[in-house]
Amino acid sequence: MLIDWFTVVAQLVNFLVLIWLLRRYLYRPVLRAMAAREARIAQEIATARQATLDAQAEQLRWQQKQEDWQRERDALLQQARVAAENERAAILAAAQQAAQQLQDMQHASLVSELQRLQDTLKRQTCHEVLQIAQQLVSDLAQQDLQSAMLAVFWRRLRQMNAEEKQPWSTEQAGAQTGVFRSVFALDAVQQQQVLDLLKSIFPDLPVVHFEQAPDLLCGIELQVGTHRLAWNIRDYLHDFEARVLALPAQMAALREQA
Amino acid sequence: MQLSSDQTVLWAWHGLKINLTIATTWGLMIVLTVLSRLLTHNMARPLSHDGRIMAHGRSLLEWLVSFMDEQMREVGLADTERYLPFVGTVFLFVAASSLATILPGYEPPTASLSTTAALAICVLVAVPLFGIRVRGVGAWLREYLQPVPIMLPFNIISELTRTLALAMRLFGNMMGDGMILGILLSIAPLFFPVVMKLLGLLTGMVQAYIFSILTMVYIAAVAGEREMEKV
Repeated sequence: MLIDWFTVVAQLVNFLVLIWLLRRYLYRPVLRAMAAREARIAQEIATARQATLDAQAEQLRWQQKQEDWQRERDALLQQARVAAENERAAILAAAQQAAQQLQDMQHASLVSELQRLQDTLKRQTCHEVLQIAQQLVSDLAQQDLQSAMLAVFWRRLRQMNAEEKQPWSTEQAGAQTGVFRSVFALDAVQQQQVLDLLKSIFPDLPVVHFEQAPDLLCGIELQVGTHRLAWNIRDYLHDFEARVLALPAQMAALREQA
Repeated sequence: MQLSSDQTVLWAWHGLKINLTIATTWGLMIVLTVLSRLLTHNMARPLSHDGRIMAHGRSLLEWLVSFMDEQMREVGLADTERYLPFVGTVFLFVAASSLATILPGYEPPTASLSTTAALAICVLVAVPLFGIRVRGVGAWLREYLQPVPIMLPFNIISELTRTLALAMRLFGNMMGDGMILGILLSIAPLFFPVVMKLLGLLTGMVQAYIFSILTMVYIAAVAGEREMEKV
């Protein structure tokens, strides 16, 4: 007989026991481990997916921030460019203005210098002319000329009106003595004639002394206190010089008015 | 000449006996249990913490479980954790019985018709149990009346004959392998036995696969359809 029923029953029991043993020590631990590993992998995948999503969100946020920074930088650059342009324009305008002022000042200085040179030249010319005139007059001055000039002087004194004579009184002049200057010394007769004539014209005239004054070039001069009456070449020449020297100032005033 | 290891009695007492088939089966049970216990001990730890052999063993176990799980799904079983202990144990026991033939003097218990009959009886009992558990008693009984009630005796005969076929197929292959090996040893003892041993290993693994696959198919025939409907 090929089948031993006792062995069959024993093998049945053995097989059931083996099922129980393997279920306890093999299948359950393996299935648990596999399930745990799958769960862990799923968790890791979910974590990685979440991390990827977070990273994408972070990347998006950084891109947004970078774009904001870019825009802000562009705005700042534009602002700085405009400010620099304005600053450049202002500096350029200031420099142009300064240059213009400097140019004006230089022009004015040049004009002033030219004017001064012209004035100096004129003054020098006038001075030289006057020196020449003085030299000529000095060379030509003689007693006869002085006499002629005295005659003219007397005529001018006689032509004075009362109002013109008033300052020559003693009280008005504020001096006790007067001075009569001439280039050439007067003799006694001439001095007496002068005194008589002065007394006849200015009754209140104080005592008059006679002085010789070669600087008058040619002519005579009467001074009482601060008042002075003269007729001489020097004064003429000085008046002429003053008028000549006043000409540039008058011309400048006319130019400014124009 | 002994056709079965059942006839080799190692111990007997008042009708109780321990023959070579039972003793070999116990040895395989101990080896399988101890190996499983060793390999699945601290299974939650990462593989890198164990030695290479342990890591390979655990990987092999996981591959084996995954393979059987995949096979059951392919034949139409969805709740594989329910059937895995039974089907997996059938496969591991038959495969281990065949693999152990490389040991000198070893007689596989599956070469005993008593063992294969016990396995076939287990299948014969387990398949209706799984069917009743999944579909209920009424539905399971009505299956025998399908497609027409007159088919009832044929369905019963089919159940019995396929169980007999399971037992005889495995017994015939395993015993035939041993018999051929024994005959060849007597004719050409130097070279052919090695080739035939390798062929026997392959045949044994194929038989383990066929036995477990057929078990899966039988279970799927009574429980798989309803399970697929649930899924």
